[in-house]
Amino acid sequence: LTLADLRGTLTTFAQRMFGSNLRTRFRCDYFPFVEPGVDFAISCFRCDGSEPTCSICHGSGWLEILGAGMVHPRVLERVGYDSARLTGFAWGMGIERITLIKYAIEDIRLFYANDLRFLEQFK
Amino acid sequence: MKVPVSWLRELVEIDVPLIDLRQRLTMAGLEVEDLHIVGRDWQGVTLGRVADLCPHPRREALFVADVDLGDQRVTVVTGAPNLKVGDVVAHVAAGGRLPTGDVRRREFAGIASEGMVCSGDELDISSDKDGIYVFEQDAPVGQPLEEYLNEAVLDIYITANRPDCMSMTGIAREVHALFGGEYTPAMLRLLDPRTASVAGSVGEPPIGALLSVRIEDAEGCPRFSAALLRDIRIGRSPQWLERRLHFAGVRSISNVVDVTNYVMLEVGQPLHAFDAERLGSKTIVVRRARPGERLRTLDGEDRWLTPEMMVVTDGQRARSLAGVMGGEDSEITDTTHQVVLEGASWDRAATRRTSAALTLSTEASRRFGRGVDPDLTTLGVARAAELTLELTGGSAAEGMADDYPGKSQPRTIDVLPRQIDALLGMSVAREEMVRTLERLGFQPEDRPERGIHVTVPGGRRFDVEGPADLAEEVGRIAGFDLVPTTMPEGALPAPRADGDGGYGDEFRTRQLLASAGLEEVLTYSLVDPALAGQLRAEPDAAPGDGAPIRVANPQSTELSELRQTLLGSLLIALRSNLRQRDRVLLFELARVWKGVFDPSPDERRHVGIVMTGSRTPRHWAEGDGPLDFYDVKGVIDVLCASFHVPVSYAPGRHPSLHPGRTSEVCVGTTRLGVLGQLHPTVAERLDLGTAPVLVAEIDFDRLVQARQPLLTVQTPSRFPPADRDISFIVDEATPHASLERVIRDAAGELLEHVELFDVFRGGGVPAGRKSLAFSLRYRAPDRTLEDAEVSAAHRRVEDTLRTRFGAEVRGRD
Repeated sequence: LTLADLRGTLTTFAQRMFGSNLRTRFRCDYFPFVEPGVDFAISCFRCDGSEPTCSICHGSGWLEILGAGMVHPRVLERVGYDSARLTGFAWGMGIERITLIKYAIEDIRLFYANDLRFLEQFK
Repeated sequence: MKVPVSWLRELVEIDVPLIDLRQRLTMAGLEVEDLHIVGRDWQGVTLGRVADLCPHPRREALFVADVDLGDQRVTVVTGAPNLKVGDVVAHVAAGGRLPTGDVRRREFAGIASEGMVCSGDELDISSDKDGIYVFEQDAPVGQPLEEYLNEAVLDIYITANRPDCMSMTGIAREVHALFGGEYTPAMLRLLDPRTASVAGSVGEPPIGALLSVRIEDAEGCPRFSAALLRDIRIGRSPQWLERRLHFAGVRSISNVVDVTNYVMLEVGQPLHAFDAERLGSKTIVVRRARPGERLRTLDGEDRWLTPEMMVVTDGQRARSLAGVMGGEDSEITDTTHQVVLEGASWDRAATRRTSAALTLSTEASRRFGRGVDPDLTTLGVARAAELTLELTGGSAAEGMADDYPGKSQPRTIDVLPRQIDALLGMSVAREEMVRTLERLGFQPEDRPERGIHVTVPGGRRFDVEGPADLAEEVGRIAGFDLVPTTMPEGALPAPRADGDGGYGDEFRTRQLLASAGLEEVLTYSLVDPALAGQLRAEPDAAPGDGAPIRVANPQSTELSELRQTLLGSLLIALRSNLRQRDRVLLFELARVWKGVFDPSPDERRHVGIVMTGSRTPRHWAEGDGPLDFYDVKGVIDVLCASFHVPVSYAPGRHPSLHPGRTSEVCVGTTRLGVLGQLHPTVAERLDLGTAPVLVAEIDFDRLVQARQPLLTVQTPSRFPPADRDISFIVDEATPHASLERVIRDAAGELLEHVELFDVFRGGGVPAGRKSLAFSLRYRAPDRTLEDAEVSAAHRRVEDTLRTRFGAEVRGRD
């Protein structure tokens, strides 16, 4: 597996989950358990970067939706894989965040408030 | 980290628009969170010179200034006492704007002020609020201020792996690698640690005669370097330096202290300045603190030290808390003449521990905690000495006191270009790899026929340890946006042999309960420790499940204990919804933790149900009563039936439930859980209204284990049945379920079906007793039953009911 495979997988995931017309950003970032590390973002569904005061992306035009990367060689070694022969990628995204973006919900706390007026909408 | 662009430009050539700089830095891992153009929020702000100044004729605390703006003169009224004729100041025209608001023409006791002159704070170019900000004497009168300053500030988020980028030179090196512009730090000659030194001033002795340094613990302090400066004049820093510190987010204090901060920001080496006379020793000894040793730090706090902390001493007692904060009694003051400049290297983990133990976090401790290259100490000290002498006059002893017992060999990595390509999934030219690494400060040695032999610079030793790290360097400088988009190829591994890990069971159960009309909720696994007591009808009763598991460092008391039951969280969710409506039915399938460690906590999945209100949603044609015991039992019946679990119910007790309306849910001898009506005391305490609250909690793991996947299918009998009824009187307290079980046992295998069809009290039935009628159907699979066989079986039932329950059988049909 390569960083390009990670990019392909994330791009496919984002477009299937959130829509095929969105743009994605794949940039270097740091997480201790991957190397290289990646921050993956999608274009803002609300303003697409056009509003400097957008309440969703704060004007950046990007929503950082998940951290990812190639599994750190030390992590592979720790669980008994030969990191010289084997590579892997890792990524993950909170289920609340997926829902938040899909339904354009502005406050993540609603998921745990257990107000039936909110919950009953998910039928 | 705030990076004034003018500072960056001194270190590296930048010939791209700032917007591109921002974009590429962000893509390379240095996220530029904000790009602030200084003066973007100003309007009509111009440099002017005070041409005339006199007190306001009618207002004592005011002055009237005549300000020369080059092409015109304006009259301004100000209350600031610091102005002098000839000062260059910032003037905002009437109709102009500052971040704080619009500026208008205003009258002060008969004299109109045409705009205003500004403090540093109003312009946000200094934190000084007390007077008008005075610019350099040679600042060009008439020029818009934003043009004169020509400044922008990048606010960059530095990830934990890049302490080397917590400096202007670090960022400049990144810019150099990204764009190739020339990297020319003015202090370049000092960058080579082997030649970094302090040129002695004329007439000054070598430092060895004045100051020596000894490190007693090389692990805690790999290196300590110091210079000695004399005849220093403490004062304010020049405006350019103050402004740069301000834009970088650091408050100006005095020229000597400002220089230590300036050099820290510039090259990344934290520095400390001691008043040499107050320090009062020619020997500096670095050691671990002694038990019970005390130091008053610069912030005036007395700190009790422990042997895991490093201290700088005068040979006797602690004078500075290593890597964190200096001591108050050697602090630089207005009357300081001699300065010891310290540049040291402190162990990362020890600094973090000290900082955490004393809850004292400083700019220095954050840097040492992440890692500072020990080779930088002499560069930092030499650069600071040079700058201090430039700003304050004075002289320097020649050379540096430098102890470096913790020197380590630089790390080297051998990497094959194809390893890098394979990890990135793209092809990068070998020359580009070498060039990128060179620009980032690595020393790559290309060995044709073999790989690239890379020496890692000191500042990256904490982060770069193998080929994967080098691949990241090559990839991020090329740009991760160049990485192709491919999908993994080849066969996926076979599905897990153990199925879906239980996910399907959970999914089906959620669907089932939602179909039964309940609403699913998610509540927090952490609860308030007070909740468990509130759930017990008798709060003093002992909790049943062992001591709960507490969080060691909870964020709040309300979320400090792992829950042992779902009921508490569900009842709280019930209450909040009862404010909106009076019919609420909720369930949750989630984990609970019993306080039993064997060896890890007993963690299991539970299904919890709470429900209250009318049996059906309000409807004009319906008028049936509130939900009761049998409704929640019905839900549990259906849930258990969905796993083909032959469940049975028996009277039970539960600290939260109504004693007469509690039932244990069992399969065989295994207890699956409990259901019933919430105890009225608990319902009232939790403010849950007056309608009965029905609850159930089932151990989902046990339910799944009890599943009986294979049904035993029986061929329906072709022979006719024999129906008999039985009617008898028993004590009121005798449960129907027990009677039914006994009837089945006594009747034997000829009994096909038994059903309670009548319950009668009063009339001829004595008080405290009840009359019950069951109908029984007998049948054999292989023959028509003889009357005698049926009667024999039926008599056994009657006899058993008499002997076991004292039943009074009421005749036979």
